[in-house]
Amino acid sequence: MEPLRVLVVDDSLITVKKLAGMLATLGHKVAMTAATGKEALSAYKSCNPDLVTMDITMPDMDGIEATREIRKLFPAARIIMVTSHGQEAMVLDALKAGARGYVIKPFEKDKLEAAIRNAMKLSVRQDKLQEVIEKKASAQDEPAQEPAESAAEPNESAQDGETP
Amino acid sequence: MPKKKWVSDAVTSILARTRSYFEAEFGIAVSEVGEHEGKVETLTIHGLTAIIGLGGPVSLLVAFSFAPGLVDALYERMAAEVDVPPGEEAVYRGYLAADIVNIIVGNCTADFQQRDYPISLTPPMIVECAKNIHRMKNAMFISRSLQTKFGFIDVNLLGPSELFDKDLNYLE
Repeated sequence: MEPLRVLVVDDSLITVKKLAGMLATLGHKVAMTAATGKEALSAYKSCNPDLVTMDITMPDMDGIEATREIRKLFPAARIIMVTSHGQEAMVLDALKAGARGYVIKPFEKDKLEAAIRNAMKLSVRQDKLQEVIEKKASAQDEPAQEPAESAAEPNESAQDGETP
Repeated sequence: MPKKKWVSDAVTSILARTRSYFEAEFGIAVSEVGEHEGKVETLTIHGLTAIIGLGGPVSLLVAFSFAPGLVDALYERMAAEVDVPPGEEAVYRGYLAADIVNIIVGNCTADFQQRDYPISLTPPMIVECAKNIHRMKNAMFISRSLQTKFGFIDVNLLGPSELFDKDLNYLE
């Protein structure tokens, strides 16, 4: 994979540093960092990154709203959520907002790498994504299960195999 | 799920996630040593405390207080991975406590699969010294004491009284 310029959005300085270190070992570079959803919007405009890692819980504007806003302005933006938030309803909200992957903290290098690879190589057909979301929603009527640590799976199911 | 059941599930989940996170991430074993709940008028927090709010079907504040010796041990492990600029050690201790609580409570939301009610979290707040929190008319406390070989972790949940029965016990 080509080295990526990554915008890291997280209000935790420790997470930002851990992510930066891990991204560097994967051959990528942090282009900018942002600590709130609003900062993420302006940072995206100024650095036009290849990829965004986005936390959910942040002051000002949360990561789901920031994802929605960035995708509205930049439909090709590739965003993966990197968050402690494990509730399936929140995972679905993030995917609906346009995220291409979901990694749950505490993150591991392998899972981060897999989510990045998936986000970069897949394009998502909205109709397939909607189908996956609806299936997930129906499955929640079944006994509760914890979501996978990386939500690359929903994207995998929704891929159309095209390289955007 | 009935709202009142939500509270007991939250307590169970938070304690289980705390144990598993400390063991997996820091190699520190955690045991439960005590509990207090309901009727106390004042909650005293001490050590380094991180507070986070859970929203959604039930609003709760969750406060984790860490013994100084435990914070030292956790900081040492964190500093092995992350560069801490000289002079910012105390700030990073706060960041570390906030991060730990954010991860534990955030991961707990996976245990509350309520499709129609996404559970929000607030960014953590840090309290660095001992404080007394006085119970107001409509607030209740649930406290659990956990122990590690480096010192205590006190977990306190603060919520509205309608989540509790007439004897001020949260419902199982």
